[in-house]
Amino acid sequence: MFRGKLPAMVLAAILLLVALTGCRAERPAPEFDFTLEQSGDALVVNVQTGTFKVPENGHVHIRIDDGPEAMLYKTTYTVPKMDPGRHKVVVELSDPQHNYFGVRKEKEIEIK
Amino acid sequence: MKRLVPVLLTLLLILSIAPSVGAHNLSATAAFSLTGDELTVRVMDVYGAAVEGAKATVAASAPGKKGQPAPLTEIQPGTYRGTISAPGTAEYDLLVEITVFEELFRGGIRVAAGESLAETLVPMVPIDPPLKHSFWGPVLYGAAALVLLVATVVALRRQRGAEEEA
Repeated sequence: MFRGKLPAMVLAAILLLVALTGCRAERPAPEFDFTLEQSGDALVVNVQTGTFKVPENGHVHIRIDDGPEAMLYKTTYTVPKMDPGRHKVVVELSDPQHNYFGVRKEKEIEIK
Repeated sequence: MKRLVPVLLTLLLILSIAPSVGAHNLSATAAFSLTGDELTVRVMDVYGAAVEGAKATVAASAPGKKGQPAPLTEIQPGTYRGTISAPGTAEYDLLVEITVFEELFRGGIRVAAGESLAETLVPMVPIDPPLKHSFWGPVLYGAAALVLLVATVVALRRQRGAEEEA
């Protein structure tokens, strides 16, 4: 009954899945950048998101020194107390469903 | 090898769900202070940054009971304050819920009646909302992958049976 039709069935099922979910489609990654600044003991991260509006279009995820993820619904983030030394900050934008756009930016700062 | 292709494709589909399921791993901590019936809660994220603009409630209840949530007001960025209504038992529980957009965090502490509470750190546990709109994507994807897997197995078995009959 299915002889010779299997590859076509599998292909059709995959196409159907893609059509049904639509969630794997490639989306253009929004342009963004960020600056790091020391203010006393604090680290201030300012994210410039251009036409990507926060929180309407999504939000910002931040990781410091490969630590856990912090999430913000605004474009300024202040860590009140940072230890002196060199720190790495990674910023990514995500949509409201927490799906990343596939672009992350990384910067370092020396806290004195 | 040719027969493995649909199975491998199905596995690929199942694996592709993984990044969208449980990918979010947020955490927060709250510092509870209680003076009289006035509760102050300072909410911080994993790096100690103030969690601003949240909706916060507190419910005071006898241990094991459910209390009526009362709103807390943000008095400064990341700090929320409100009045509790203690149930009159020797001890009671304070349950604070913080909602930052769609993210819900919950944390609680047991307090002796009539006693103040110096600033005490309480972990705020992220609670998955029952139905987020992102919920159905992975579920639909997973269900479809399961159907594809079962259909592939059935088709392969029938194909094998047809070959044996021939």
